[in-house]
Amino acid sequence: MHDGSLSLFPEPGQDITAISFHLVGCIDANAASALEKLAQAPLPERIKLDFSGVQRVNSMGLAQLLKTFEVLQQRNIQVQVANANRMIRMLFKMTGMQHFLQDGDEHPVSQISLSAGKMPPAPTLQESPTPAIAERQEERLRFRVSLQSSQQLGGWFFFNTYLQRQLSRSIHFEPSNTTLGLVDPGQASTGAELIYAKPFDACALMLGRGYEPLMRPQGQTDEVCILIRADDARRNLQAFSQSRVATASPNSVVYLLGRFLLDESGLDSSTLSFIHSGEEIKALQLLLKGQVDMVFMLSENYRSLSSLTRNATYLLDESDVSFAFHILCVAPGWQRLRAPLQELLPAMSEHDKSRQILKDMHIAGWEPPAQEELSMLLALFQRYVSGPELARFTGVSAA
Amino acid sequence: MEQLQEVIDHIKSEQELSGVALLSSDGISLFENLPAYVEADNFAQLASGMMAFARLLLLRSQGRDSLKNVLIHSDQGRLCLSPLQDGNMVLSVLTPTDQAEEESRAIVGTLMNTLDMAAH
Repeated sequence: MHDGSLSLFPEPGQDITAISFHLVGCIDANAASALEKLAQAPLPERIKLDFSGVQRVNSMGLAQLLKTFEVLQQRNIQVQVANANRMIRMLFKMTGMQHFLQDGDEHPVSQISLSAGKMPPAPTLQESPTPAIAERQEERLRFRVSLQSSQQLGGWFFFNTYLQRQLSRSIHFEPSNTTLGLVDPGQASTGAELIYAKPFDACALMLGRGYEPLMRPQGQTDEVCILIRADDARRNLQAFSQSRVATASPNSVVYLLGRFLLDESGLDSSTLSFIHSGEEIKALQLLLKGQVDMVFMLSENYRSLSSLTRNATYLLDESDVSFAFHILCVAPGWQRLRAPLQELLPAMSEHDKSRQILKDMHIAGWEPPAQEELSMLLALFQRYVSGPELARFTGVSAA
Repeated sequence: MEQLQEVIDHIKSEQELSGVALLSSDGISLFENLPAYVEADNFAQLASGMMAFARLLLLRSQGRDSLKNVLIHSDQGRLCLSPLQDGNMVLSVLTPTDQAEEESRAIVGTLMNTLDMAAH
């Protein structure tokens, strides 16, 4: 039985200018060595990669793939990916890699088509375009949390208390249900020192305000659920042409994934009208009141709904791309917090008391985000949120 | 289910309550008759969050989460949150300042029984 790590099997063919490989397994961080061997191997001018045996590609894997494809292109070797599953095709299109897909035009991307661009480096403090938030040794820190649902309030409150005890300093907990990126850029000086933010909000904080990514919830990625009312007789996406869709924010991974998921399923998302309600629970309310036909919602939030609400909805489709995640960020000028938090947070899952707090927060643990994952997320953010919108979102001009 | 809205409207005016709302435990307002200054969706989120928080607090302090109600007193009156339907719903009642606490408790008790029966 295959253990899930990536294996490549060459397939015999007649054409001496081309070779095919059958790929089996998952393309993730562990795929690096297999892909590196491919990049260095003697190859003809064209290679075809058959993805029919690939179960999934996550953001680390996509970064490895992109690196491999770049090396092959430098060697003037043409790469073509065939038989990728729906999620992998969606991931390729989202990240501007659709030209590698043999069947890339089967479900063309609608107006959210993304321009190809060079992947930006992950931000560092030196590149911060905004001045550091001055250290205030004596004052208490502010910890802003983008709550995914009001049910998590208690867990995060206990987490804040835990941090105060462990860091021996006063920390003011600021739960937030609003999109952080929509905070008036003029209010940058009032930013919190610690922020737990949604993926694109975290990108805006990193690129626009010089925040540093510190931790991400272990193994937890942002996926989208597409919901309809339980009493809606339509049970396939194609029947929802011209429909009304509610979602929390247009500058979110949930919205982006939702639209790509629709496009990939053959429903042109540009034909739909979108209502941005500010909060997911409000979007859900619009659905239940019959004011919209469909809702894009963070899968994590859907899973934590009460049985009452869940029974009133029907899950039509769901993404599984393992690409984006929430990030705990620290403000520029607060490097002193890094070392203690880097030690403290991953160890929370090792002790009974702190494990209970993690459970109440609905997360398994903390882990530092890998550089490649951050780069991929930032690339997606910059590709999607561009021009004036980027400036509005981050508070700085687009490069 | 329209019957529930009628029950809420009737008891609110009959008992001179400031507001009544029936929420799902995840913060969706199902039926409400609230004062004009209260935004129903935000209220539902806060009230359900408060219930979840209180339940957690009870669990941590007493090792159990069988919560009967949460009572918040202020100069403007009282807010009473009570779980219904095995915790799937939250009944929120706003009472005026001049109403005695015992009277408020009795009204909430009656309302809970009536809504519980109507919801079945």
